[in-house]
Amino acid sequence: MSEDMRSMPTEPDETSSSEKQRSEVSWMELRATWQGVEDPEADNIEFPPPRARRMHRKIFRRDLLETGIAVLLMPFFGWFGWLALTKQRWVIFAFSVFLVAALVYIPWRLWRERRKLPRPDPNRSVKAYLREERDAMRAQAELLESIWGWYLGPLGVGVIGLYVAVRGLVWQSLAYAAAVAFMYILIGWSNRAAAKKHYRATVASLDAQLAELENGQHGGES
Amino acid sequence: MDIEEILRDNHGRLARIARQYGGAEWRDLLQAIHLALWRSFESFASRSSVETWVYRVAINTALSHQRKKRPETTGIDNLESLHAASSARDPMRILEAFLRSLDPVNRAVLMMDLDGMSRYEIAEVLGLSPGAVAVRMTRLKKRFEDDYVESR
Repeated sequence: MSEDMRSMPTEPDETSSSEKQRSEVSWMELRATWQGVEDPEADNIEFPPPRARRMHRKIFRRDLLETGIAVLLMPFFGWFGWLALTKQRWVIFAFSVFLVAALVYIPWRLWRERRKLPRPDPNRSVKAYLREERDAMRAQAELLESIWGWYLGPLGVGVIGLYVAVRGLVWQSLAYAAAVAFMYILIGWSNRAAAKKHYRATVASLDAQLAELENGQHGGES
Repeated sequence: MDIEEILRDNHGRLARIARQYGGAEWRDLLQAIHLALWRSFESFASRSSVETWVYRVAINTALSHQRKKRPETTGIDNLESLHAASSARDPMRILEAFLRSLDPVNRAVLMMDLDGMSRYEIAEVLGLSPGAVAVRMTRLKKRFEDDYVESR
């Protein structure tokens, strides 16, 4: 790997050959010293696991938890729907089916978005990889920001509708609906905050890295 | 070869790059370089040598890091530190001060040469022609020798 410096082309007005030889010897000595310098302080630095891996693990754990909850709840609402069907209580049956459908849709949506996360591809450049990661993080942010449409909305409508269908339109039903709505508003707000804090911040940082990488590449050319 | 092994084998040169470009925040820069290597390892297609890939990622990260931070020293400060190092008559101290006095790209050229990379490898990392690297190296070595000899 090491190149013999004596073979390096020089400019016409270079030093004489004896001076050149002396300076090459000195340069080779400097090289050897430079490469042999030890840095115990640098050896003791602890490195955190890379951000991308941490993020992937976090998203995987979240999706697994949501899927687990959905799988546990599905038989309950399925059974509820079956009972309503046998007793021909169509409104209860409709809300039960709606809830089961929502519980199938939520994990599917989560897994679909997770599949968009960048996969190792040896043909990708660093720049392309950063772009893919940014797009995936943006998709995760949009997923959390639109949680009302695909998660809280369907579940809220299903749960409140089912409760009202079972108990009738009484004040307890309205109180239950208000409590569920309040809880869902809190969940929606915390998800928007999480999207801003984690994913949007990562998107901004990746955007900055991409811009700097591109500028850096241009800066290195002449 | 896995990434852990590459990072272990190149730890010394990565630390030297971080110290040269990171200033007081060289530890942060070293972590950022490790992170960048981890991230880009999956897309490293072995089309270039490990050394050139490591250097390419490290220098890009170092240049990015430098752009984010305000320079800690001015050209005059660097010249003063070079003269201070020269008066100490320690070639390594002079070399380090000399490196700090260079612009980032020339600093990278000199550091890669000091790490034993060929001009072809340096050219590949920087996107320059091998001839341009050779000319830069000749000038840089001449400048260093002038400063070094002046101090004697």
